[in-house]
Amino acid sequence: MMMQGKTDSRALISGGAKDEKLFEMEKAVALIFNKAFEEGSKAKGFIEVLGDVQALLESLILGDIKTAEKYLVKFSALRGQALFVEVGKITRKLHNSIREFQESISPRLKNLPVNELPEANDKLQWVINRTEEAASRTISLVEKHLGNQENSTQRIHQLEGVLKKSGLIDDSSFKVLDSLKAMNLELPKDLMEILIAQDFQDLTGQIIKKVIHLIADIESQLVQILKIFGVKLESDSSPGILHGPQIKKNEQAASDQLEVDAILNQFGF
Amino acid sequence: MDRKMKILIVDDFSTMRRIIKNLLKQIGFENIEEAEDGQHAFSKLKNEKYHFIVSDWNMPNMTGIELLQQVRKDPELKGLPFLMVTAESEKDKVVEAIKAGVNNYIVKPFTTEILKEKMEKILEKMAGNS
Repeated sequence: MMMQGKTDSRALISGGAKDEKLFEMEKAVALIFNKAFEEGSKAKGFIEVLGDVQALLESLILGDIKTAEKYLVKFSALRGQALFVEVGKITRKLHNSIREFQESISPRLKNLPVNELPEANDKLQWVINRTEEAASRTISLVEKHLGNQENSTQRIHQLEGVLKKSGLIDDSSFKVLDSLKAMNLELPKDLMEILIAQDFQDLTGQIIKKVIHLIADIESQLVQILKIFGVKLESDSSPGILHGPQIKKNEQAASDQLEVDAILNQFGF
Repeated sequence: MDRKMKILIVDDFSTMRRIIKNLLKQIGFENIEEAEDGQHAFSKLKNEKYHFIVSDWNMPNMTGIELLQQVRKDPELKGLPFLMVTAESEKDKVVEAIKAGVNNYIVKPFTTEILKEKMEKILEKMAGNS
């Protein structure tokens, strides 16, 4: 800054230090200075700066470069001081904003990454597991009946053979056998439909897994933000929230009907 | 189709593995094994002889597309027929799989007929090429 001031002042002087422009500037500053002084301006700093500007211009007019540089250095220092004051103001504002932010965060938000988001993920995983179990049970039954159907086909043919040999078979028996055959043929088609319908578990499970990942991402980012702002995370177990099916063994919860019945017995039901 | 060929089903959802297994049985295949992700599948493929892979895309540890890339890179496995069965239906995914060397692509949900048709197509094409 000092070097810049030096160069400027020399350039000004070498361009004709005593030219009219400098005189005009000096006059204008003197006018402002006198007016401010007469009005008794309360801005002492302002009058002081004006006085310095006037002195700088005078020293330039007189070609007193040393004095001019002294004032330029003083102005540079003033400018630095102003910048420092501004930085201080911004820092204070930021500090206040952070404090306001910390105070405005609800306990619910502080509790989210500690309890609610991990719990939400556990619940979604529970849904995946339960649907997988249900689909698996259905598939096992389908497999069993697909096997039975093959046996039934053989038995029907055996029965038909026996009846034909014995000569006991008549038109009505044929009709019964035909309808049995038709039903038996229809069965595997329907069983396969039931089997394929279980793909809901894979398709919904994939979407739920994506949501689980998303929640985990939100959770870690929320923790990061709260840590940056110095917010203390809180654990909250508010009463009044319905927890629904028990996804984890909880001492306060009965996990199956037998335990529920035991409790009911205790109360005389 | 050679009904005796050994097929490997790769899917992280056991439900889907069982569905595909039953559908393949219905078509007439009996020699079927399962793997829960690409990593398990690759180690099975390196240790036993398989003739056909039916794989999901989205799986932990090693995805279907990564498994496909590994298979195509491996001198012993590179010629194995690879059928992708996935819920990923975006065009760029299909193109990505084709570029990686997939033999055919089925979008979930699907039917027995589609599975049969795609498997037949792959095997016919391979018989024609050999």
